[in-house]
Amino acid sequence: MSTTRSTRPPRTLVHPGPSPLSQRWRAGRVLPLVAGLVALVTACPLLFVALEATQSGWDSAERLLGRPLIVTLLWHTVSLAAVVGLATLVLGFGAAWLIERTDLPAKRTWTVLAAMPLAVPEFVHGYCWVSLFPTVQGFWGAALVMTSSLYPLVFLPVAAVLRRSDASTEEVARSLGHGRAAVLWRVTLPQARPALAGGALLVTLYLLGEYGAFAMLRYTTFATAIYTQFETAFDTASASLLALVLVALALLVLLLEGRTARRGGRVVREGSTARPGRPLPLGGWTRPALAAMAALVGTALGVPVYALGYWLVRGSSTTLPSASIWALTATTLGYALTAAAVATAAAVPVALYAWRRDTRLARALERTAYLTRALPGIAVALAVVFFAIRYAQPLYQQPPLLVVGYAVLFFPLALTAVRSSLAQVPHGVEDVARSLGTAPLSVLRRVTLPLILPGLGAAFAMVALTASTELTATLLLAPTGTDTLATQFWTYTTGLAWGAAAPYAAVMTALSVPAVLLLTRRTLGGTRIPREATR
Amino acid sequence: MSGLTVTDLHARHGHSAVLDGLDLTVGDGQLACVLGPSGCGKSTLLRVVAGFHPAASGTVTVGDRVLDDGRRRVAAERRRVGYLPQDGALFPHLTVAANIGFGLPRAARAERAERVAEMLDLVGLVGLGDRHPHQLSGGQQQRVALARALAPRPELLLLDEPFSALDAALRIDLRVEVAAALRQAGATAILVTHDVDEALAFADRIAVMRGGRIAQAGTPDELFHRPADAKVAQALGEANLVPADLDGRTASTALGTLPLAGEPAENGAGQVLLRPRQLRLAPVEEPGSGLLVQVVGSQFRGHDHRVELSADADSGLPNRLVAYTDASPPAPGSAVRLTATGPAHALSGSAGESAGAPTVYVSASSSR
Repeated sequence: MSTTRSTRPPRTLVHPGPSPLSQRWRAGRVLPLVAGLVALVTACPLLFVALEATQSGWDSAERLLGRPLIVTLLWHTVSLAAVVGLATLVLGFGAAWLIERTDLPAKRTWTVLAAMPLAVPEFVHGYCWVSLFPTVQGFWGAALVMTSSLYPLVFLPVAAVLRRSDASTEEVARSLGHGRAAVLWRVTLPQARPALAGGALLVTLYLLGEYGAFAMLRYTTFATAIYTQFETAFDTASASLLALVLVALALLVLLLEGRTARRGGRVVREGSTARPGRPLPLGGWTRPALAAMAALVGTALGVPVYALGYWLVRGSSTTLPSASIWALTATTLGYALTAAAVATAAAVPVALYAWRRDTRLARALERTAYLTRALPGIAVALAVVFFAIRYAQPLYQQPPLLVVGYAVLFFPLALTAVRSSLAQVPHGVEDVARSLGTAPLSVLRRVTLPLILPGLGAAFAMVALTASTELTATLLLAPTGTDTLATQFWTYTTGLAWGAAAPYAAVMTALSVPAVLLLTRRTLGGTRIPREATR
Repeated sequence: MSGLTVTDLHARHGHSAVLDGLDLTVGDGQLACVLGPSGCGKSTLLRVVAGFHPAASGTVTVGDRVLDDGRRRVAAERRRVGYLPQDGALFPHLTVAANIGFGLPRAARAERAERVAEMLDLVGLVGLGDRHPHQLSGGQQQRVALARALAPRPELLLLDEPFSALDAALRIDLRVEVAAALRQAGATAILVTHDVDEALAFADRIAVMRGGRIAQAGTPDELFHRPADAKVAQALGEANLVPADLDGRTASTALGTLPLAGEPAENGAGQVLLRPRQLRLAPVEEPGSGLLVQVVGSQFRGHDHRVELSADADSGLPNRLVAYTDASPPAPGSAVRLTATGPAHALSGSAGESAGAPTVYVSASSSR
C-alpha cells in the first residue's frame, strides 16, 4: 500500500451497471419527505383548533374567557388532576414496589390483575359505578372512578423500571448504613422518578381528554363543556376556544413532566446486565400486603366485573336483538382495523427515518408526531370536524373522516410500537444488505420489514383495540346513522337503560383485554429470554 | 479483484471534518490494515468506501471504477464492495444459508446453493446452514458474516473491527483463520482496528491513521522498525525514544554509538528509536561498557519479562526506559548495566521531542 498525494484524478468515470453514478441518494430523499408529511398531518389538529378559535374574534373570546365558567372549569379540572394524580402515584408505585421488590406471593397473577383495569374503558368504569351506586358522582365520585381506572398507567412503567434497574444500587445503599425505609425513599423512589412522572403525565392527559366518564358522573370539566357547546349549542367558536385552553393546559403539563423527568437519575445499567436483587422478605407483613393488593384489585377490577355480570344477568330479561350487537361489533372492528392499518403504515416512515438518521430534523419530526399524544382526544376530534366542515365538506360525517380521526388520535401508539421494534434491529443490517448488492426498497422488503413485523403487528393491534372502544371522537365523527359499540352503549346509558348497555360494555372490555396483555408484556419485557442470553 | 485508490479524500460529520485529505492505495489481492486510535476517522473511511457516507471531496476508485468523486457517487448496492461490521450484523430472521446467499442472484438457485456450500466450507461451518444466527457462538456468527460478505465475490472487502467483540483467545484464532480464508479467496481487503497485534498478525500492509489522514503506510516490518515519527513508532508498540547525535550512518547516544538503519539520516541532533528488545541488561559487576540505570519494576509475562528502568536525569535519556528480557531481572531498586544492540532508527522531528509533543504530520509519500 502506498499513499500518493499526486495521483491524478481519473479522466473518465467508468460505470459498473446500467445506471451510472446515482444522483445523490435519490431514494434517500423520499423517506424524509414522507416522514415530514406524516408529521405535518399529525400536527394539524393543533393548527385547526387555533385557527377555529381565532374565528370567534377577540370580543367574544374575551367574553367567554372572562366568564366564571372558565374559572369553574379550571378549578374542577386542576383539583381533580391533583387528587387523582397523587392517588394514582401512591397506588401505582405501591403496587409496583410490592410486586417487583418484595416476596409477595403470586406475583405474575397480581401483575396481570393490577394492569387489567385498563381493559375497562373509563366511561364503562363510570357506568359500572353509577349503575350500582347512584350516589357515586360529583368530585369524589370522579376521583374514585378515575383513580381506580387510571392507576395502571403509573403502575406499569414504574414496575418496568424497578424490574430493569440493577438492584446493586439498593444493596450499596444498605451497605452504607441506610435502613430499608431510607433506601426506598433515597434510592428506589428517585430511580423510578422518570417513570412516575411519565405515568402522572399520562393520567393527567387522560383526565383532560375524558368525556364519557365525567358526563356519566355529572362532573363538569373542559371536555364535557366543549362537547356541550359543540353538540347542543352548536357554538363551534366557543367550543374551539375552550379546546384551545385545554390544549394549553395539556402542553403545560407536558412541560412540567419534562422538567421532573429530567431531574430524575437515569438508570445506569439496565437490561441484560442488570442483576435482580433478592426480594425483600415481607414476613409478618405478607397478609396486610395481600389484603392491600386485594382491596386495590377488588375496587378497580372487581366492581366493574361484578357490575357487568350483574347487568348482563338482569338485562337478559329485557329484550335485546342479539343480532345487532354482532353487527355493531363488525362495524366497530371495520373502522378500527382500517384506522389501525392507516396509523401503522404512517408510523413506519417516521420511525424509520428517526431510526436511521439521528439528526435534529429527524428528532424534531418524531417529537412533533408525539405531540398529538398530549392533545386531549376531544380536541383532536374537534379539529378533524373543523377541517372537514371547512375544507372537505363532502367528507363530513362520512366514514373516511372517522378513520382519519382514529388514525391521527392513535398515531403515537403505533409510532411507539414501531419505534421500539426498530430499536431491536441489529445495527448495520441495512448497510450490509446494501453492500451485498440490494437496492434500498429491496432492503426494506427483505430485511427491515420482516424484522419489525412483530412491532407492526403490535402497533396494528394496539390501535385497532384502542379505537374499537373509543367514545368521544366517535360521537363527534361517526357518519350519520352509523353506530359503534361505544356510541350504542352511550345511547342506552344516557337513557339509563343499564341492562341494555351491559352487553356492549362487556364486548368492549373483552376486546380490550388482549391490548392490555400486550401492553403489559411489552412494558415489562414478558417472559421471553433475551436473544443475547442464548449466545 | 482489483485494488483501491483513495485520493485526497475529505468527509464530514455535520460541520466537523472527519477525513482531512486522506490518501491510500491498496494493491490487488492485498490484505491491508488501517490502524488508529478510536475517533481518528477510520470507520468513516470504511463507510465512505462502502458508500454509506458521502465524500465531501476527493476520489475513491476501485480498479478503474470511480465510486465517489465528491459530486457523484455509485450507490452502495452497485459498488461490489463487501462490508463486515463489528458485530457481524447477521440478518436475525434468516438461516445461516440464507444469510450467506443473501447477496447472490435469486434466480440461479442451483448455483446459489453451490456457492453457499462452498462458502460454508471456506469458513469451516459445514452442516450449520440451517441454524439461525442466535443459535451460533460469537465466533461462528462472525464467520458467517465473513462468508456472506465474500459470497458475491466483491472486488474489495471492508472489515470494521470484526474481532473486537470476541474474547481474547477466540479473537487470535479467528483473525488467523479469517486472514487465511481471505488469502484463499484471493480477496482484496481492508481491516480497520485499534489493536496493534491484530494489525501485525493480519495485514501485508499497514496504514497508521490519525487526525483524518494516513500518517504512514508500509509493511508491518517497515512500520515497526522504521517509523516516520515518534507517534507512529508508539502506535506500533512500546518504543524508547532516545536523543542522539546523528552523523550520517551512526548515532551517538548515552547508550553508546549505534549504527543507523536504512538510508543515511541528516546530520545533527535528533532522536532514535530503540525497541525494548534492543536493550540489554547486564549485572553491574560484569566487566564491560554500559550505562548504570535503576530497575523500577518488572512484570513476568510468561514468554519474557518487561522491565521498567530509570536513568539519571543528567544522562540525557528519557526518564523511563522499557526493556524485554528473557532472564529474570534484578529486584526493583537495584542497579544494572544497560547497553543497546542492533541498528537504531532515526526519527524525524527535532531532538528531545517527547511522546507528549504535538503531532507532526509527515507527508505520507515520504514513507516509501
